Amino acid sequence: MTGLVSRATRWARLLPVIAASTALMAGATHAGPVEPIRLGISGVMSGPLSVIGEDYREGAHLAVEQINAAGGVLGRPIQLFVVDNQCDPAQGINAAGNLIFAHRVAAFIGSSCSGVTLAVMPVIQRIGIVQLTVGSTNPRITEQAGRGGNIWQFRMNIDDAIMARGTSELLADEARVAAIIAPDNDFGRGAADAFRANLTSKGVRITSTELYTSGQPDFRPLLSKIKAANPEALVVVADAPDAAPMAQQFVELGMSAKIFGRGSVVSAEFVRLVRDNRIWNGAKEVNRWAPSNSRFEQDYARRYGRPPRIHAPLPYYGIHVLAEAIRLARSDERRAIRDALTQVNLTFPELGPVRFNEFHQAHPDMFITQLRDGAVVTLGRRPSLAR
Amino acid sequence: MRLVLEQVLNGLTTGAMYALVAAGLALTVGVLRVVNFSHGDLFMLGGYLFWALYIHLRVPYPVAALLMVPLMVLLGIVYQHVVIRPVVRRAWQVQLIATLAAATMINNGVIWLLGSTPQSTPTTLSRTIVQFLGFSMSAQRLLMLLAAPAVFVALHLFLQRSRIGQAMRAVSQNREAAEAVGIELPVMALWTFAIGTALIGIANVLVTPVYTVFPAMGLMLTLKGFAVMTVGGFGRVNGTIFAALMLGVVEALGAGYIHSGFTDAFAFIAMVLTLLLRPQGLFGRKVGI
Amino acid sequence: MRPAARASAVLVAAVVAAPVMLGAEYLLRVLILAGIFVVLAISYDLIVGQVGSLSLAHPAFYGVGAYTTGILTTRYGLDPLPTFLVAAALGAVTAVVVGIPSFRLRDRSFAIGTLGMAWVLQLVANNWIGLTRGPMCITGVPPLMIMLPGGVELTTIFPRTGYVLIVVIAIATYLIAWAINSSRVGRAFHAIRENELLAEMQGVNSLFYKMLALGIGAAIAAVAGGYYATYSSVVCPSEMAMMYTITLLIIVYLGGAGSLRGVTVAAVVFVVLPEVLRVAAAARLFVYGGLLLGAAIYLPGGVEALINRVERAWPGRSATPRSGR
Repeated sequence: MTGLVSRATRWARLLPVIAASTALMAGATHAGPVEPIRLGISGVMSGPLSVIGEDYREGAHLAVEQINAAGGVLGRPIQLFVVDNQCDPAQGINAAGNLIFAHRVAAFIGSSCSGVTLAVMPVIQRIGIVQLTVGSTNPRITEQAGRGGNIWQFRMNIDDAIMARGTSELLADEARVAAIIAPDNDFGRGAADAFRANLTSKGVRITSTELYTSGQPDFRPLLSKIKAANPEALVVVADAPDAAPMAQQFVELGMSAKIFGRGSVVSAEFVRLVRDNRIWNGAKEVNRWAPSNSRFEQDYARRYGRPPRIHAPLPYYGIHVLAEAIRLARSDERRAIRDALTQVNLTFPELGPVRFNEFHQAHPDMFITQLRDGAVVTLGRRPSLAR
Repeated sequence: MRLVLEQVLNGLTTGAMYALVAAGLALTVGVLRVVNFSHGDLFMLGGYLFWALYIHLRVPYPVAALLMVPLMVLLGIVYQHVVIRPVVRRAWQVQLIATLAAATMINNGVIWLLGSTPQSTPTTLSRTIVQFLGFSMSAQRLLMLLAAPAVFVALHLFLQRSRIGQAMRAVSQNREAAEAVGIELPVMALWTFAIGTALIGIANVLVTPVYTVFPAMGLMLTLKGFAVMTVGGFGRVNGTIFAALMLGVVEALGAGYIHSGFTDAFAFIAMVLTLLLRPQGLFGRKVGI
Repeated sequence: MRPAARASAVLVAAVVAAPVMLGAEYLLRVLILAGIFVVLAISYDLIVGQVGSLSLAHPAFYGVGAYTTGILTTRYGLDPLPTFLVAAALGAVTAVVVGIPSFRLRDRSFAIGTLGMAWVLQLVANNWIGLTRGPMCITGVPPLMIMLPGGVELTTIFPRTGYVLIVVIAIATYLIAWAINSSRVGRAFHAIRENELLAEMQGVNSLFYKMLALGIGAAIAAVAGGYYATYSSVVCPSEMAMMYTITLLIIVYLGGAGSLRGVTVAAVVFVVLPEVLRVAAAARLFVYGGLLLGAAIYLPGGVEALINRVERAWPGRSATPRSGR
């Protein structure tokens, strides 16, 4: 009998801990004098893609700080909660759950990983809360949003197909033969398919499409293969960390071809990693954002000591868009925010118009940029919505 | 034909990097029977260390190169003391878990403290392009191609001729007998890791300027290190070096002629084929390294 | 049943049933993930803890199960539940494919061999676009739905019933593992673990039993994968990543390899704890690594051994020592 009692006592000692954790997860709230507006952001904060998560967090934080410094929204400050989804769908569901239930956010910005975004979509639909995606590229997200069925899913980043069309137009003006290099992930394969389709329809001959694994050190084998086919132009789908060694090895091999980037080839980060302004000087890229010495960039540099990387601007603007929706709705109630988002009609001078169509897809502008002697120069700007 | 030769050359340079990294791994496995899961992450740490010296502190390249080796040896000794020494006599599962845990700590420790931002360390050599026989490469890469065999020869001679080297081989052949004649295992463990990390340091000096450094790079190198070690002969240094060079060439030719997306697969397909057809690896497993 | 065992059974039942009563969605979802990990951990312990083969290929079996269910439901319109059987079968087949070359190796080479095979399988999942859609993931996997007599519907759409479903699977897994461990097969496993050579000499066909453990563990992991597919509606190659192996190793080693109870508790702790303490992700993983290192060096029996020591030292315990396994 004593065994039973001592055993029960042992478990009883654990109960307060269990109870506290349960309460935390069941959604304990804390009230303050001015109730803040709670927003969330789910990013990849660990693992090989954590650079992207860092950008998300920094961009979003900057926006929140700016808004709060200007008096907040509806007179209330924004409180930002950042969670790690590990680029894993099941963890992503729980990360969203953490935002939704433990932190009781009114809306949140979704992950760059399409798998996570897609897994979370049924959850937000059931619960009724907005997920604003600013980086996932999978077209199924938009297919299923808005009129496609899920009225709580919104996407702010332009489709890859649209960007590929823009870049292909540029390329077709300058070359008749091209090769494509892309990473073997969601982003890369989608972009490569879009480029192939667009370029061939414009009469450009594709010598080959080469895939690489993001993070691989050596691109010389595929560059040698491309060099042998001697294309006039090269479409490089890559973020700066991959583009930099690729560019160096391109020069090493003595290659010459016009470079058209997709990702963050033409970027300050690329220049920083390559440390040589001659490499890929003149490369062009169509991107969803371009540096323009905007207030965002100045504030970012002051706050973090370096220019923003490619994944930071959209979360920043995403927070501003959510803030605008809250202003329009005059409430931070979840349903009200959703309804207001469908009415949002903003224009950011350095980004373009943000208005969500019937599939809850926004179409900010596309920027044509070029690398000139170590600086990113904006050659032009186009609306991404086809006329 | 020219393209084939160019791809073979490409492959040899990648293979040289794999070999420099994997040689230390084979040494550790051969002498101490410890499969070091953190090997690639130690290389990553070395990469950041080199970046700190060369870019951040602006130490000239030759000086940085000279400093790297003792610094990495120090790292190896610390690592050996913290992670390996407590488990060197324990069951191999425990050793594997311990090194795996250390890899996780190193990897995430770097992300936590330094962030995930990749860094690059281009040198004057890596910016200088040299041409020979119609092939074009950077002086840095040429240096890597020339220095690597020199390093391997030096390693071989060390293992064959020096007293420490012979002691290491004795331990790898028969640990109990070696201890019976007075060779101390803890001292050998220290030497093994010191040399292993010295090799990594040399690899960092030669290789890092050509590529970039980022926290996640360690895992793939460790896995490829395992793959080439399996193919070359588990714990056999020369076999591993040979297999590494072969892997580089196979990857280059495969990417060039089959499909570039499968580059990583070759290592593991080679590994699986070896396991199926000749589990002891190309150079068998006579006892010892 | 002894009074203490009965009391702990009641307590466990209460702890398991409580979330259903509370209905708190987030808590339930966290516990669903915990449930999946309990199933994975027990199945992994079968291989690593009971029979002693340090396989690093477990995420591959999980992935095979997830993809089986994902493909059969989205492309051929099958109902999820029957696909679990196919998943289990394919998981076992994969185990044989992995095991045949790997079991020819001993010890360290075996571990590395399984790692290599798992990596190849992940590469296949990532590159065979026609079958798995690669990095674009399989999406729209339908939820599991079971109609009970009496009109009660259990489905993964709702966390409450989804939790019930995974609890059922977890309990079934626990019972299967417990039955195996107590049987002749289990004794063969343990004999091989303690001293394979000796076991062989005593007439135990070690290859057969090691393969059996791998196959059963793989089949169970595949079912967990199938459940996961219906729960998250998405299957990506990242399910087969090495990260899972590390987490499972931590769970098994900290829980006490070979102890069902320890491994189950560790699985729950290692899913729930990070949710409760959502600190910086990299720091958390750093701490995990440290815990694993510490456990490997100082705590060979894991938490289970610790509990045993505490139990034995507790005043008033009965004199019969409980076996650590």
